[in-house]
Parts: sequence; C-alpha cells; structure tokens
Amino acid sequence: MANVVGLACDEFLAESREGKKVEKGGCGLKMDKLPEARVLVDVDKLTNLGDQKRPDFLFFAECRCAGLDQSGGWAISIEIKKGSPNVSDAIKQIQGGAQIIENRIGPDKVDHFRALLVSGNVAKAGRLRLKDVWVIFNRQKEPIMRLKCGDSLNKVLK
Amino acid sequence: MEAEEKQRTTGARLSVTNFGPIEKAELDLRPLTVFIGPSNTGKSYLAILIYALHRYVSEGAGSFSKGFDRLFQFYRSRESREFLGATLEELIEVSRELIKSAADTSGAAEHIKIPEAVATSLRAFFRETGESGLGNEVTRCFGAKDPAFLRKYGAENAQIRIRVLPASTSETFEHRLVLGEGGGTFRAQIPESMSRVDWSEWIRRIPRNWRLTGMDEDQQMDDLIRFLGGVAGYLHMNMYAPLIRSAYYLPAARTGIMHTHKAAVVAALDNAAGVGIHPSRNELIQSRIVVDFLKTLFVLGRPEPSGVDDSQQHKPILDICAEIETGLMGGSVRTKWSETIGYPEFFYTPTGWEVPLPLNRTSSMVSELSPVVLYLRHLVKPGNVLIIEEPESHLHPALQVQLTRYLAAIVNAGVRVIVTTHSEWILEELANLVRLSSVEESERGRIDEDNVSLDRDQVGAWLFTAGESPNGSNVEEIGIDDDSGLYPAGFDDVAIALHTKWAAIARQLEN
Repeated sequence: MANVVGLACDEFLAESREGKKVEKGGCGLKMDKLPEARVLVDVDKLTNLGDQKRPDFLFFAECRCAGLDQSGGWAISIEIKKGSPNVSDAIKQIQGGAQIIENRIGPDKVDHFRALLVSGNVAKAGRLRLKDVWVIFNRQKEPIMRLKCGDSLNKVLK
Repeated sequence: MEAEEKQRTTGARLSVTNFGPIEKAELDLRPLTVFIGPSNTGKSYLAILIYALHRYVSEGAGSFSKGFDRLFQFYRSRESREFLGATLEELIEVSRELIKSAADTSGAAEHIKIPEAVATSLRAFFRETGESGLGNEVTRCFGAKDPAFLRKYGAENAQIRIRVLPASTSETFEHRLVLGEGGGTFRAQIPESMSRVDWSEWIRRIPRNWRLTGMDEDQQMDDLIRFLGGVAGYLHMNMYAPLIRSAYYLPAARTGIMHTHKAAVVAALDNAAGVGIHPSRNELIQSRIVVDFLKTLFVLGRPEPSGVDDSQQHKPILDICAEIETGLMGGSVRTKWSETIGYPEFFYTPTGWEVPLPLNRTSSMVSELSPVVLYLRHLVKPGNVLIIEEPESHLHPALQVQLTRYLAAIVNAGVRVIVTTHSEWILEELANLVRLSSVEESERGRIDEDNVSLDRDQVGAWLFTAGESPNGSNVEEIGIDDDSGLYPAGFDDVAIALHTKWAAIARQLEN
C-alpha cells in the first residue's frame, strides 16, 4: 500500500499548505507523540471544493509500529469549534472531510479513518446527537470522536 | 448605587490558605453559592468553615448577645477601668463628644471617630474571645481535637481571613484566624470610624435614664462604662454583620442519620450515663456538623414553642415545602412528638395513603428530602443560611432538576443557600435558571411555567480543582459559558472519556 502521507502531500499541498498546528479560533490540539511521518492539511486553503461541506483540517500519518493495531496509514477529518459546537453542522463538515479523502486519496489507501470533533463544552443533547449519527468512510460506519480544546491529537490514534 | 448599598450591607469575602485540602481559595458569599469539583478538593471543608463562622457569630462566643454580655462584664470590671486608662472627666468628655456628633444633623461629618478607649478595649476583647472562641468553634465543627489538624499537609499553619464591609463604617476591615501548632491566633481590625446614620440609630436605643452628670462618681462611672460598652457592642455586631445570620447544615450523611438517629442518640445517652464510671467514648460522635444535625432532629417539630412559624414572612418557605412534598416526594413528611420519651419520630405518608410510614421504611429519596423539608418548615427563616451537602444524593436526575428549581425558589424567598455538588444536572438547570433571568419577563412564562429564575449576581459558582500532590486544591469562580449555556465545571471531560470508550466499542461492534 502506498504511503498515505506521501499521497496526501502530492494531492493537497500544491494547492494548500501544510498546517503546523491544529488550531482555529483559539481552540487547538497538541501535536505531541505523533508519528514522524505526518501531514496536516488546512482545508480552508483547498481551492477546488466548490460548495462541498468541509472540515477545518485533514490529518494524515503513517505509523510503522510492527505488530501493533496502530500500524498503517491514518486519516482524520477534524472539525474545530472553540465554544459549544452546532453538532448537526459539525457532523456534516466531518462527513465532508471523509468524502474529500475518499475522492482525492482513495478509501483503500487508508487503514484507519477517524472522525474528530474538537470543541468546548457540549450540552447533553449534543452529546446524545453525536452518538446517534455516524460518518461513513469506505462504506463503513465510523463514530465521531471528541476531544476538548488543548487535548493531544495522539489520543485519537488508537 | 443600590447594588453598591446591597454589597455594603451584606459584603463578606472569605480567603483561606493551606486550610485542609485547600491551598488557596478566595470567595464571596452570594444568595446562592455553589461549590463544584472533584472529590477531596475541599468543598465540604469550606462549607463547614462557613458554617463554623456563622455559628460562632450567631450563637457562639462571638454572638451579639454573648459578646454584648461579655463586653459589659469586661467594661464593668476594675481591670477594664484601669485598662481604659482614662479619668472620669475624660470618659465624660468622650461620651459627650460621641453623643453630640451623632446628634449633629448639619452634615458636617459623615462618620464619627471611634474613641481610642473603645477601640483598645475591643482589641483586647477580640483577642480573648476570638482566639479561644472562633478557633475552638472552627476546630470542633471539623471534629478535630487540635487546630493543627486543620492545616494543609506540610504547611506551617492554616490561615483564614474574613473581610467585612459593614453598613456602619466606611471601611473594609479584616478578621484573621491562624490555626497551627499550639492553637490559634486571632486578629480583628477595629474600624477607625462609623457612619453617622447608623450611629444615630444606636443613640436612639440608649435608655433615657442614662445620665452623664448629676450622680455620684461610682454610678456615673458605671453609666459611662455601660455606654461605651454599648458602643463597643454595637461595633462588634457590625464587624461581623454578614455572618450574624443563623446557619443550618445538612450533612451528606443525613439520609443514613435519618434512618439511624435513634440508635445514635441512645448510644450517646448510654455514653453520657457512664461518664465518671467508664472512660468517655469521645470518638462516638465528634463532628459538630453531625452533632448539630442530631440535636436539631431532637428539637424539630417540638409542639411548642418552636412549632411551625406560619407568619407572613415565612409563608413563601412553607409553600415551597408543600411543593417539594407534592412535586418531589409524592407524599408528606411529619414529625410526631413522643409524649412518653419526649423524642420526635418522623413519618412519611404517600399521597392517597391513610397510614403513615416510619422514615426507616421509606426510600432513600424520602429520607434525603425529609430533613430539607423539616428544616425549612420548622427552622430556616428568610435571611438565614442553609448549607446542603450534595443535594443530589439518592435523587433521580429528573428530581435533581426539580430540586434545583425549588432551591432557586428558596433563595428568592430570602434564604441564603450554599450547596456542594457533583451533579451536572443541578448545574445545568441552575445555568438555565440564571439565563432565563436575561429573557424578557413577559416571555419567561412561556419557557418556564413557574417562572423561577435567578439573577446572575445572585449566584456564585466556585470550581475546586485538585493540585498536583502534595499541593492542595485551588478555587476559582466560574461563570456561564455563553456558547454552551453551561457552567464549565469539568463534567464534559468525563463525558469525553465515556464517549471515547463508547466510540471504540461501537467501532468494534459495527465493523
């Protein structure tokens, strides 16, 4: 399988830029303890997405940890909201990220896909809604994971 | 201006350092004060301290009546006369000046200087009563034998500072209690002046037969001493003004105590009967919080004279009691005073039943809420302080939410409430009630048919966060997050951890 990080660089970086940190509007994630082979795509900089719903970032990593479940190519669709998110909008945006990856990288190039919402407090109704809906990637249902502003992205690579 | 005045008459700011598990906390007490945070961070510790301070001032050695009596005794003693260090002529002059300046309505001075003789004697009085009285009260409320047990592990001492802004003076002044090895020290700051307006009120209370001249010297001296003692007593009362309110504490253990109080009292009596014969089992009941709760159960519902106060002032509280019984408990709770043993028994009658159940045959929910209802019905008055540890205990979330609304109603009826809580439901409903107050009044009824709301400045929510061991916890006020409409109390961290686990399980089960 081709290295997903290389593919992402080839596909996105010509028209985008590599993000140095996952941050938007004062809410971000720590980038510690991540695989060395990685790239962060700032989706706002992609030019040819039209009206398509999109997340804030796409993150790709190649983890070479022989024998561990984490090994392989990772892709994460990340939506960030500093305060309390509109969960319905966030779900659509994260799903948009999954489609971008499917269309531009190819689902078969990704071993592990994650859908991630990073935000401030979410009220109980929003929490329940996040358990009601799934993001579809490569015809598989993927639950949306949550991190709070300031958490480490590495928590998702499990 | 009105808010400022309100602050002036009620203002008290409490600071503690190295107290129990708390490294540092600084807070002011609002009509509704909420302590939130992980276990073992000192929420109950601070609540008990507040209770101890109120207890000391409202009924302990620092209370107005006891303090007043002791002040009079002090002033009338020979030592006091020597201590005042003034001749009869000088004291007459001081008193004349005080009365004259208080009666002066020309507006020349807003404040009246406190005579040095009064300030000096008050300092001595506070040194005597504060160190032994307040230090003891605080220590005993925690069930500790030695004040040193109340300091944070590794700290030299625990420091408690109360800043008061009373109505009668133009100044903020501080009381400082330091607890450590060998006991406690207490320092009270005496104001240099007090407001003429409040002083005039005091002057009106002086009995008409108090004379400054025309009697024999001894009698004159006695009158002067009493007069200056009255000045000191009045100052003393105002120096503690925000803490004068009676406080009631419902400990977290109340549900169990409601089931077992008779056994506890029998054991205590048994212990007392053996005093002098057997070594006293002091460890049987140590915390004053629990002792006070048991004592209160003993007098609750006594037919007379402390029966139900159905005055107009108390009526809103009685109405809330009735609503808690019908809306939350699904039945009523009553006290039956045993004529044979003079001890109360508590019964719960489910709605529609004719036979009452003893409380130990009811659900934990009933035992949990019964003392709340009984305290409100028989004891707690507008202006009093009601401290409830973990009101959510044994309550389904729906009842927790409802109880929060009743607590808000109690606050609106004039009772000052302090709660410690781990309940996200309580905090979420509280945030709703506060945000509702920002909605146009005419629209509130559409959202909440009872139209219960709390103004933002009525509520203080304080988050306790654990420090890295061996550091203690810290306390900071949290406001409602405008985006989420929630208090950021850390509950979402737990939700995220649960969600992460849920997602991992869901992924495995789905794919």
